[in-house]
Amino acid sequence: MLATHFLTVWRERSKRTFEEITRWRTDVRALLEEISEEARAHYTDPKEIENTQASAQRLLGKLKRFGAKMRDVTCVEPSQNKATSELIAELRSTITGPDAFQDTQRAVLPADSALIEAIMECEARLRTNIALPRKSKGT
Amino acid sequence: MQPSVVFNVAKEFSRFPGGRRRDHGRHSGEEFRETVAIPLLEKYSRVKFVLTGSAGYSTGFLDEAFGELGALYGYEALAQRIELEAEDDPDAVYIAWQRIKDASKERRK
Repeated sequence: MLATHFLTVWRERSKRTFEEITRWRTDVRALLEEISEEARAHYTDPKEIENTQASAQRLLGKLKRFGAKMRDVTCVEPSQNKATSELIAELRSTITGPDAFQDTQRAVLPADSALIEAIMECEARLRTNIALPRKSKGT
Repeated sequence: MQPSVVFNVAKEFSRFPGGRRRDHGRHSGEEFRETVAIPLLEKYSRVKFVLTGSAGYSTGFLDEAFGELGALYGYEALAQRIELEAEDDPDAVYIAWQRIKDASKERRK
């Protein structure tokens, strides 16, 4: 009977963890997509160029939130956590590293520019990383 | 030289750090390096920069504010003399130290 009890507790906990990780994945993917779209618009949309400071601040806020969200869970394979941290930093650097990021005099970039491609490539690598097995912190 | 000091960037410089250079607007990384970081390092043997509480740091700001210190002082010397803390943004600390290392390597070339 005790074994049945512990088996039930374990099963319920596993189910909750699975649901939590699934929810996490949905939320973090949505935020990443938002960041990528806004970052591309920041550099290619003339309206965003007029509002450079506001657009830049919005992106910085979301990038900060993204980093925090990614750290809500950890990789099941510990060696993948370092790669995750590096990718998060790379996303921020790709988007906010260029001189033009907060330059109100910047020129509009074409949609197929090297920077836009770099943003999309970083997004793709993060999507692959997000799909890696994760667990709640403390488990 | 006085022993140490803690500098809170959000409270004492700006809650909204700017871009890379002064011509990108107020509270730039360049401005921070020239008016805050270097003077503090000239006055104190150890400086703790608290980055917590700001709206967010661009890599351009971190590169100019801290990365360039790597070019001026070298990574080893800075590792002894500065501490970077950001409870709500550890990625900013990670990027700043990466930039310090990169700039320090460039200095040695």
